[in-house]
This record gives sequence, C-alpha cells and structure tokens, in this order.
Amino acid sequence: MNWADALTVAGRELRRRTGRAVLTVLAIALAAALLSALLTIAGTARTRVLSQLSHGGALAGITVEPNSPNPSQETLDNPIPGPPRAITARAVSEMSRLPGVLHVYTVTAEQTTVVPPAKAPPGSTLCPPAVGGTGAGSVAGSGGGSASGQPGCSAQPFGTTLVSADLTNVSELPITLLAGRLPATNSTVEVDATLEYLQHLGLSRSRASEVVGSRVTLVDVAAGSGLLFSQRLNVEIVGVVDEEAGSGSLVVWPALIGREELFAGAAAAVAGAGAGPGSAAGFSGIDAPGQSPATPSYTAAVVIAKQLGDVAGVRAGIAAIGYSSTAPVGLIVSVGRYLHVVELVLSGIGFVALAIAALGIANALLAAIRERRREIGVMKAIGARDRDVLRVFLVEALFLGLVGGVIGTILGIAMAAAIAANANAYLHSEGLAGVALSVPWLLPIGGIAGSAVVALLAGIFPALRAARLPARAAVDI
Amino acid sequence: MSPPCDCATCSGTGVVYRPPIAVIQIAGLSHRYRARSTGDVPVLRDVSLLIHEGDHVTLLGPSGSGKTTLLSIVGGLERPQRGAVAVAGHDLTKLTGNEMAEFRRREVGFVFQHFGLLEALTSLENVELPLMLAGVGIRPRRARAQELLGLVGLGHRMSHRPAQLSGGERQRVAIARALANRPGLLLADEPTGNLDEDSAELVGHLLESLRRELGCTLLVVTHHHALAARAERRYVIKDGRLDPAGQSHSEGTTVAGPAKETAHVAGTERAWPAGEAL
Repeated sequence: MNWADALTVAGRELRRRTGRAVLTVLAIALAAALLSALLTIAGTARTRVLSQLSHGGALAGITVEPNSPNPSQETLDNPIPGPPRAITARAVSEMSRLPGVLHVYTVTAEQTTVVPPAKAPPGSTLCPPAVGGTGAGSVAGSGGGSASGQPGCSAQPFGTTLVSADLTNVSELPITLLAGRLPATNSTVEVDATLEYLQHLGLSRSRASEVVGSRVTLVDVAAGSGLLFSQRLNVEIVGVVDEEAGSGSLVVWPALIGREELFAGAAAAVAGAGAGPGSAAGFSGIDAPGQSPATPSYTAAVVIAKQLGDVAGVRAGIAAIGYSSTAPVGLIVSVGRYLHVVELVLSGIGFVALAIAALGIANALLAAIRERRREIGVMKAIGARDRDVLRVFLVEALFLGLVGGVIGTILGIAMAAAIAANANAYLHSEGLAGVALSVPWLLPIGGIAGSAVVALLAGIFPALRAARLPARAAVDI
Repeated sequence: MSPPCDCATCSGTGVVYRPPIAVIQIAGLSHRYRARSTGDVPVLRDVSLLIHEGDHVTLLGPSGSGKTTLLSIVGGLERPQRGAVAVAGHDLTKLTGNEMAEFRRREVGFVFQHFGLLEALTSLENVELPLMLAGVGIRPRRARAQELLGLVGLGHRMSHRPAQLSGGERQRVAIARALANRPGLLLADEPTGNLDEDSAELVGHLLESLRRELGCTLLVVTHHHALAARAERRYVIKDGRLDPAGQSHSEGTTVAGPAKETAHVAGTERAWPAGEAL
C-alpha cells in the first residue's frame, strides 16, 4: 500500500469517527495555539522591552555626545562625558569608516521660540489664542493666569530647540512615535512635538494626541542664525514623539532648518556611511578647536553598529576619534538574558500543553486500535503487511497533527494579536508607544511542523502496536 | 502455486485426464494455544489432510473443536507449531512474516462469518482493498472491483457502506473482495453464520457457482447443514482430530480412506496421509 492509499484509508477512518477526530484535533490545536501565542507574546514583549531600553532606536545604536571622552568612564553604558567638543563632519566621516559600523546619523539643534497654537484643534482642550497677544495659546487645567482670556489658560511663547535629523530610517534612531505620524519627507511645514513640548503646555503624555493637528509659530530668535525662515514660520504638529536624539521641543527634517546647501560638502563626506545631512550653525558654546565658523558641526550623532557584539569596539573607536558615547548595550544584554529565561518558561508551558495533546493523540489512536482490532486482522488476512498497517495509523496521526497545527498556529497568532491590541489600547491611553506584534517567520512553520512531528511521535507506539497485531485477530471472537 | 480461479478452464473436444494437483497438504499438524491461567490448550492433534485443486470441502464440528484454527493455519493467519503444512506449493512453516502476507495476498481469499468489511469504506473500496495492498493502480483495481461486484449482483451498491447493506449483501461484498486478487484457494469461516435462511442459501449458491465458474478450491467451515451438503467432501473435526467416523461425498462417490499419498514440500519428500476421507 502506498502513502496515497494509506491516506485514503486513514481519511475514511477519521471521517467515520468524526467526533473523536475533531476532539483530538482540538486538543492539539489548543496546545499549538497556546505555544504559538506564548512565543509570539514573548517575542513581542522582548521587542518592546528592548525597544524601550534603546529608546526606540536600533539595539546596537550608539549615541555620540558632543564631548571629549572621559577615559575612566568610557566602558560604562552612560559615562560622565569629558569637556564639550563639537562633532564635526570630518569626525562623522571617520566614525563611518570604523570597523563594525553600519550607519551614522547626525542630529543638529537650532534655537527658536515657539508660539503655542493660536487655535485649538477639534476636540482639543488647548486654549484659544490670547487676545491681543503674539498669538500664544494656553493650556486648560495648567493653572495660573489666563493669557488667552480663558480661565485656567496660561501657556506663553517659550524658547526651545528644534531637533533636526534625517528621519528616513527613523527605526534606527532613538525616536518613538507616540501619536500621529512623522513629518512628511523633507517637509518644511510639518513638525513632531516632543514630550518636552507637552511639558511646556502642561500636558501629560497620555494626552499627546491632543496636540496633533495644532499649529505653532516658530520665531527666529537670532537674526542670521541660519534658520530658513526669516522671522516667523507657521508649522503644523503632525505627531508626538518620545526621543533621545537631542534635547528640544520639536523634531523636524533638516530641510526645515534649510542648511543642505551649506553642508553639501559635509553630507557628501558621510553619505557612504548613511549619515544624513544636517545643520552646524547655532552650536553655541561648544568648543570646536581647529574648526572654522563655516565648518559644519552636529549636536549629536547616532552610530549604528552591525551587531551588539560590535558595540564595544565601535565605542572604543569613537573614543579614539575623540568623542564620548553612550549605549545601553550592557543593560540590553542583561535584560535580554532575563527575557530569554522568561521565553524558556513560556515555551516550557506551551510544550507541556503540546505533550498533553500528544498523549491525547496516542490515547485516541490506542482506542481506535482496540475498536479496530478485528479490522486490522482482516486487513492482514487479505494481505496487508505490518508496514501497511503502520502507514495507515501514522498517516492518521500525522493528519491529526497537521490539521491541529494549522488551526492552532492561526488561533495562537490571532490570540496574540488580540492580546497585543488590548495592550496597545492600554499603552496608548497612557501615552506610551504601542507594541508591534512580532511574529517570527519561523513560528507558523515551526508550529505546524512541530505539531505534526509531535503527533507522529505520539502515533508511533499505537501504530507499531497495530502493525504487530496478528492476522489471527481477523477470526478472534 | 495454483492457477488463478478464473483461468483454469480446459478446452478441447475429447476427455483429457489431468492428474489432481494438491492444493492443501497437511501432515501431522498439532497446534495448541498458550494460556497463562490454564496452561497450554491443545487445539489440533496430529491432523493430516489433502485437498486437491478445484475441490469443494467442508469442515464440520462442534464449537471449539479446532475448525477455525485449522482454517487459520491453512490461510496463513497462524503459523503451524508442529507438523507440515503446504498450501499452493508454499511450506507455511518456513515463510517469513512478509512472505506470509504475500502468500495471503496472492494465494488465498478469506470470507468471514462477521463479513470483515471495513466500515469506513464503501463496497467498491472494500473490494479494492486487496488490490490496493498488492500495489495495483487505481484504474485497473477500480475496474476489477466493479467487475466483481457485478459478478455477485451488487453493481448497484458500489458506493454504499457496509452499514447500509443487508447481511447477505455484506457477505457478497466480502466474497467479491476475497476474489479480488484471483486466489486459487477460497477459505470461508462460517460464511452463513450471521445470515437468515434465504441469504444463507443465496450465499451458499454463490460460493458454489463461483467455485465452479472460476475453478478455485473452496474450503468452508460451517455449522450450516445445507451449506455443508453442497460440498464434494466433508470432514468432521472433534477434539482437534479429524473424526474417522464422519462421512464425505465426492461427486456422488463415497471415498474410502485413509489412503497414502506422497507430496513434495519445499524440496523434502514427506509421507502425506490423505485426509480422513470418510
């Protein structure tokens, strides 16, 4: 009997005992679902936790500080830096050539004054514009006076910093979107607010979405500082981010600051390493020996190592170039170990469930063999060999495992998605970044194949038992 | 190996003498069942039997006398413990497990009292099963199964499952299945035991007519006197022995026995006392 014929006979037998087959499939499906869900949740949680540690950036990301290195501190994740030192385009270029470096991104900062919204967006509790003022708005519930004329509103224009970075590969930067979206590529009229901006308005992060859609006015505080706009620029806040790339209230594309032309040469110097163009001027108070005023410099740089193991070497290289750096790699490795233990425990629970399901399969097959003892004898009496009977029962077990595995894996991922949706609803209500469901490509394949293998293993003993039944069973009473 | 049932036809104008070909040769067969609680139970004691190609033989005897055990040994369901057993030229004492399966598949067709149909399969699939086990492709085996079901008058019941058939119909499906691989020997264990009189008569008639038409050897274990009366020879087993007090008819001729015959089994010359031809 070939495998196809064995499948036909096994399929008929399963259909004959539909109830038992369905229950057995359900048992293995539930086990596979539990295992898939646990592994998906564990993987997602791991991604979320590590993302939190890396502030939403690459795990192997290194933040280069505009400071000289402190030799006694540089092996720490967050060293106390040495004296200030401008990050120049030349330095960025050198960093990009360090062994183990994948990309280098630059960050610039520009001083500005922000005039909060003159008009509250729909559904927002932001204050209406102050009457006769400079267009400043205020925030309800923040206490204080009433600049806008509305009780409880007191927001005033405030001086702050624009953080400018190439947002093309934002997933590699320590920037996490909390609400809304990122500014359109190279936009000069869209910005993202930061948590610092929310603080200025007296808003908690759970109310981040309230500022999305509002318009603010940027005022050039120092003529000739290099800002694209001469005096004032109205921009729309299209999102809110939690970022560690720089210290400021708004995150913008470099185009808004408008220094690409000025820094074309610097951009070209680091383009090979993926470094984005940026702004150098306005880097006040930084000691930049050897740099002419026209030479571009950056407030920070983010260096992405190829893998976590390269981070220490790259940091040493950065220190050798003359800069202090921070990287949470020690913390990530340490937390990663704990997460691995959690994953093992969750996997263990899932495998126990799968083992119980395997016992269910074995039990169902043994029961079938008890019931079909005479039929097996008849099959042998009409010429079936041991291996023919073995095949029929193994195919039955395999079929149960495969169907259970497919259903269970789909169910498990759906369960994980539902749990992630609930978690996201909670996280968003708290103003935190949500979790992105992380389903490794191996999981569906592994879930289905694993269930099939477990079923096959569970079926071996009953199948051997059936195969060894004597042909005499055909005439036993 | 005996010729297939449906190809042993003679042609010619004159009467041709053909010496009888021994299909079942049993000498000194003893068999016992091992039971832990009661110790060994002897079932067959020094049984010797010779059945020729095309014979229709019935085994009679009370319950527990060893009829079914003898049938099981002849059909290769059970391995003989003592004595010599040759069926269709195969020494059953020497076949390996797979060779025994091959022997059952090619040489023997079984008909059981309980029909032995696989409940999950249709009539057609049940008849196809021996062909499936023999590795026959789907088209030829389907055609053969359809032909056989037509032969037993069940061409209109092919897609029915056993539970949808009457007892007589089930047994006819079982007979069709037994003939699927064109065996030279048909073994029937109480084939009418679960049937009413009419169905039993029909099945008995079918077995006999198929035997005549296809030329195969038929060995039937039965309690059913009408079925036994159809046989050319009848043997009675009592307490594991072929009873010399029984009677046998062969085409209306009474055969006196026992007689001595000699046969070759797997290259060894042995003395084969003819069965208790009574």
